[in-house]
Amino acid sequence: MTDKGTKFMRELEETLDILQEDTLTPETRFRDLPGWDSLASLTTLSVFDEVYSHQVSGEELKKCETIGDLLSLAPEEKGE
Amino acid sequence: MAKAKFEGISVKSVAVCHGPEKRTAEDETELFAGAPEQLQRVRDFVGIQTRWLASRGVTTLDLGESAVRRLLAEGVLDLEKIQAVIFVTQTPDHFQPCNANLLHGRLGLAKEVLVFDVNQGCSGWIYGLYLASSLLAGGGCGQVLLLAGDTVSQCIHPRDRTLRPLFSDACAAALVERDSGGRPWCFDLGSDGKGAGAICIPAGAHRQAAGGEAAEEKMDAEGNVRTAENLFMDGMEVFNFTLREEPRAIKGLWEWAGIDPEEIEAFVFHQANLFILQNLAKRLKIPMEKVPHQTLRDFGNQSSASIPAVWCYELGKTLEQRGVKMVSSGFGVGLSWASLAGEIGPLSWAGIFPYDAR
Repeated sequence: MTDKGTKFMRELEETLDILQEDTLTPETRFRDLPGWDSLASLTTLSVFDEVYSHQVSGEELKKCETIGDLLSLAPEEKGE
Repeated sequence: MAKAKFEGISVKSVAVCHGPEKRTAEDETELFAGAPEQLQRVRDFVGIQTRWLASRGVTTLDLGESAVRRLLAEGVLDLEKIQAVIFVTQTPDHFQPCNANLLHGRLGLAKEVLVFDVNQGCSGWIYGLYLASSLLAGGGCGQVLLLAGDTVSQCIHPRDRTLRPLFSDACAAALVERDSGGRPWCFDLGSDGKGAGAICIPAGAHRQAAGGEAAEEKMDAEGNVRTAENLFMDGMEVFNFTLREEPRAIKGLWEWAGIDPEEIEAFVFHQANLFILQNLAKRLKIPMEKVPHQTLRDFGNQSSASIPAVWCYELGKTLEQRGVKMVSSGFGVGLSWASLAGEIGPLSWAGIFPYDAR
């Protein structure tokens, strides 16, 4: 995982009111997050696009079980 | 993407008539029964406090006629000088004839007046201004009456929690005319028809008739109920579309037009929701102070009437004094987007008011 992966998790924690600081890891499962819903999904797409300048579709996001699955969709993370 | 520059054209006056029925958070508690914190989250996210709906039986045409009659009452419109009427709507009274013809009859306009509807939604105000400019620049018209609005709330299922807290009903009317003192207007318009399914009312027209299977209520994975006759919106696709196309289109427009974004006083976006507006501001590196959004808070998403509603509600007093350098930009159903960079005003009158059935 690149530094951007860490940046993504910290920014998502900051932006999304249902999350606490320093709680997300690549192993975190989306469906285990309390209050995870469509608004949280939208926020995730937004932070992902901001950090990686890369868009993930709603369908792609739905297929991701963990934060790590999502991160692996970024072209920059595939090189690692 | 189509780009065009017009000179010598001005908007002279604008009126927006909105539905009279007020809706606040209290009206939506039932929809979010047992989850008040979810309702609060939605409201913070979308940035809407109050919505205004048309009563059943009141149509976009009624709201539009009311807006025109207000301009007449204020003495800022002379129907005898109008040579064309453009009515932008996706919620017309009928499939045939179009709203513009019906309005022509109601207003008793001369037979020499050309009229037509334009089927566009959230980008529709700018599409309408582009068409009005074209008619004025080369179409033999001196004054055009432009209307744009919808009664979107009537297309939404009462138990659709994703869409119901968003939409309001309104229609705008503006006088657009040839004016030797008019400042340059630069337009950019585009479409992505492959994304058409992201905002769609599947049934009720000719592809799938209303009634029967189309009227069956279905619940999605999140518990929202709708029929094929209701408005469907894929929020994530629309969000991605907006962030993919809008910043690029607007940057392309100000580069093409040779505009310094620092000199733009206001970025008047279609009042979709606060989350989208904040993301657009961030991507374009413009401060939220330059992005009006009180109209969104106090009126909700008014479809194609939302940009003129901002002009009237947040910029109206300034626009009655002087011209304002702005970018106005709409995006949505189609999928389509359209932006206008240029000076609007001074206007002889600008106002927003509720429909009164009398």
